[in-house]
Amino acid sequence: MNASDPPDDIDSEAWEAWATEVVDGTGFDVELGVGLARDAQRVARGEMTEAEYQAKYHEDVLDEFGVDDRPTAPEPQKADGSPLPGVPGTGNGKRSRRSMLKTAGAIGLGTLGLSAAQQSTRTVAAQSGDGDSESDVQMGMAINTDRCIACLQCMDACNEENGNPAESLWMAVLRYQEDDYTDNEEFLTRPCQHCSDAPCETACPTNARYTREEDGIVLTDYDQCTGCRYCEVSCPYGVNYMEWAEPGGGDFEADRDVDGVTAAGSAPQGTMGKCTFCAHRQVSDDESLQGTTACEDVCPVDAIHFGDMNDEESAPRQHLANDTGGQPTYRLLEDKGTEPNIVYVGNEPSRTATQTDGPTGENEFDLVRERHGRREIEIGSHEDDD
Amino acid sequence: MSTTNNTILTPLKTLSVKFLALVVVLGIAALVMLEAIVHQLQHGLAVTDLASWGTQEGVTWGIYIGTFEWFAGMAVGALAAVGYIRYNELTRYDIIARIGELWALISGLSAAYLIVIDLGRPDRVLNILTAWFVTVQYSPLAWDVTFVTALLVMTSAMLILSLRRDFSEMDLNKLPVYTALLGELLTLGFRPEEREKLDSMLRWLGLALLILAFTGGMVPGWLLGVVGAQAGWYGGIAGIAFLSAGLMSGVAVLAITAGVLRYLYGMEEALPEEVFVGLGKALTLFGFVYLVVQFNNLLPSIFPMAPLAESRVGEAMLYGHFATDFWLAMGAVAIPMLILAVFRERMLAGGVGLAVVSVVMLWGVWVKSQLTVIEPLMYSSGLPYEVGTYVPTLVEWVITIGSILVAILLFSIATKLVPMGRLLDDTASTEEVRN
Ligand code: SF4
Ligand code: SF4
Repeated sequence: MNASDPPDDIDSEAWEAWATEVVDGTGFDVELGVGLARDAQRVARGEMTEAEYQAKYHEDVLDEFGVDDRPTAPEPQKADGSPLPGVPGTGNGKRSRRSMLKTAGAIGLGTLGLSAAQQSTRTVAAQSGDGDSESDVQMGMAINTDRCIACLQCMDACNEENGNPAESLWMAVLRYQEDDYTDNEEFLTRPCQHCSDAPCETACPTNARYTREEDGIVLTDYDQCTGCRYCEVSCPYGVNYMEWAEPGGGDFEADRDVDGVTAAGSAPQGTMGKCTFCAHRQVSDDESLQGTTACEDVCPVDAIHFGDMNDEESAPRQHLANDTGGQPTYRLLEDKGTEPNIVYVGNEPSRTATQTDGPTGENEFDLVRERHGRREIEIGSHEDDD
Repeated sequence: MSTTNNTILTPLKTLSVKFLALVVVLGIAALVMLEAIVHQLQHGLAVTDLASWGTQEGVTWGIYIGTFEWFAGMAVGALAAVGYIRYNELTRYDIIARIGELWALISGLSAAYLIVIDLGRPDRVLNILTAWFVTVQYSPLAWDVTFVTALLVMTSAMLILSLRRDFSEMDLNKLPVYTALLGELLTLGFRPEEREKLDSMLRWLGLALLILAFTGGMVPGWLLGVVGAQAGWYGGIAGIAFLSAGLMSGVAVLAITAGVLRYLYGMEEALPEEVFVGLGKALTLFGFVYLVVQFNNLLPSIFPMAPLAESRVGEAMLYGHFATDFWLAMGAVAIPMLILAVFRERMLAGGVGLAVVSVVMLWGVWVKSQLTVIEPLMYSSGLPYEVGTYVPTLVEWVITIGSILVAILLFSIATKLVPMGRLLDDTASTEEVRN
């Protein structure tokens, strides 16, 4: 049965059977799961308040999962909260500060007599009741930095795949140290986080930055982008790469077209590029490419797992469920409220972590950190500033 | 016709060699700037020292945006001054209001085109307008475009209406031919009965400008202030910090202009000392407020209880990498402000002293504007990235300084086109003037 296609009537037997099957797959308490799912639907339909929902199951959820991490939790969760198996039926109709802002905007548009179809973001479409086009698929990754050996092959494969110039590191492996007492070097594999509540979209004055409805991938419409870089300053992760000059990278062989929008592959001069989750693969006719990314394919230690975060059978969810090896899981800078769709397995870099001195290894792949035409960066040249 | 302040027309009626030389020099500067712009259009933003923050270890917004903030502030300050003078009908300051109208327009335009120059695809600037209906709901950059447009429209309306009134009181035949033509155009269909209505329109438009300055005038500050990703930008005081800088630089640019005009054209009657006393007092007050707000913004960040990201930014500013620039900028505001406060009479006599300290203060605000924009991008927080670097290239300097010189050029030309104020005597009947 298709997990993203539940029967409508939550009181029907068909729904019960569907929910039971879905919850059963997770290995958690079936009765609790089904109850949660049904009432989550009621919350979504406004038949039950979030507070009631929260209170009704709090004890049971704590018993079962050890933590009550549901989105209706009244209190902010700690940053390293573990990813909870998705409750069936709630899909990804996430509520958040920014989506509320956009909802308000959509209502405002209504009064102006303008079509909500003009809205580009899926959040708005979903929130304004345009339920048919809403999809339950939210692509994301589980990245196991504990496995990462900083071979940088993902970075190389990404630039190759997307025809990026050497300086646009859509995928970057950061090397860092936590303190001066140990020489422990740790790695952070850092693509765009494809946030569900992406500040880069809120910032964009041209609507060029958008979330693809079908799978929740955050993309840039290269034909709209005016190169203002407001998305770049508002993203907390530093994943945006403006093409300052004519990109001198390799060729991008696939089709740049993603549902009629020029959004795949390297960004043209003067526009903003960033990781697209290999969007061209996701829309490819070749089914073997769908659901894959170049970085995931090439990783020799299987640290990157790409797939639908709402599907418990997906590679990332399976990894999180079975293969974390007892390592902690977290989302990057979760307190920024961006709702990132990358879940990391391993140690989270602290705010005081510093980049390690010495070569970072990019040059082995003809990748560079310094922007073309700018003078070279001396690694560790700013020690005194801190 | 005996007037008490007919020196107001002196700039219009004279055309000295010195002035022509100035125009030539500024014109050459404008051409050099144009060349730099063409160069940048050809090669893209690669000719700047901007780079992505993160692995490229650069700043993605640099002196174009810093100067944009400076010009935008100046426009807001000039707008507020015009609004205040017109609303309260401070006749003595009439000439200041005219200078303010021109500066609000010129600095607003300068701010607007600097944003376009900063775009990676300036040819697509219209995309911002076509997407406006949707993006204005959430993109602060769209709010900014809205505000700057409103500022330009309302300032133009004020300039046109006030010129209509002023021209209606003048004998157009005594003006240079192009000014007379402009006068003809602006007084088209003017009837004496309209005078009263015009007066009240100017008054209420003045109030509208004041309101715009103190509300929408904070938007360029929010452009940075709402960005949660950048410690040092984010915060509730950003709008006020921008506004306080704007008020001060707006008054400073009016004081400079008034001082220079009086010095060059001997406009003692039109610009009596009390006008400079008023401007000097305003500048002292706004300078003080500016400093209070800046330090209010910064000091909490270096307190031990502050979040790490904020403290890195605050420390770099107060005693780290940027300390020299920062303290120079603060000194450039504080010292002139103290001098103004202590030696008021001596400083303000003649207006030249005031003009000089105003230049210094404007420079201070410009430097601080740059630091505000680039510093958080350099000291990025969150992920283990290196601290960034940024050394503006020649192209960036030429365009930035060029934009300031072009603004001066535009104003200089304007002094030869429009009267700097109204004639203050009891004019004979309008009929007589029209003949
Ligand atoms: S990581 Fe940055 S660029 Fe990517 S979706 Fe989130 S905010 Fe946008
Ligand atoms: S650089 Fe492009 S995608 Fe980013 S905010 Fe500006 S217009 Fe939008």
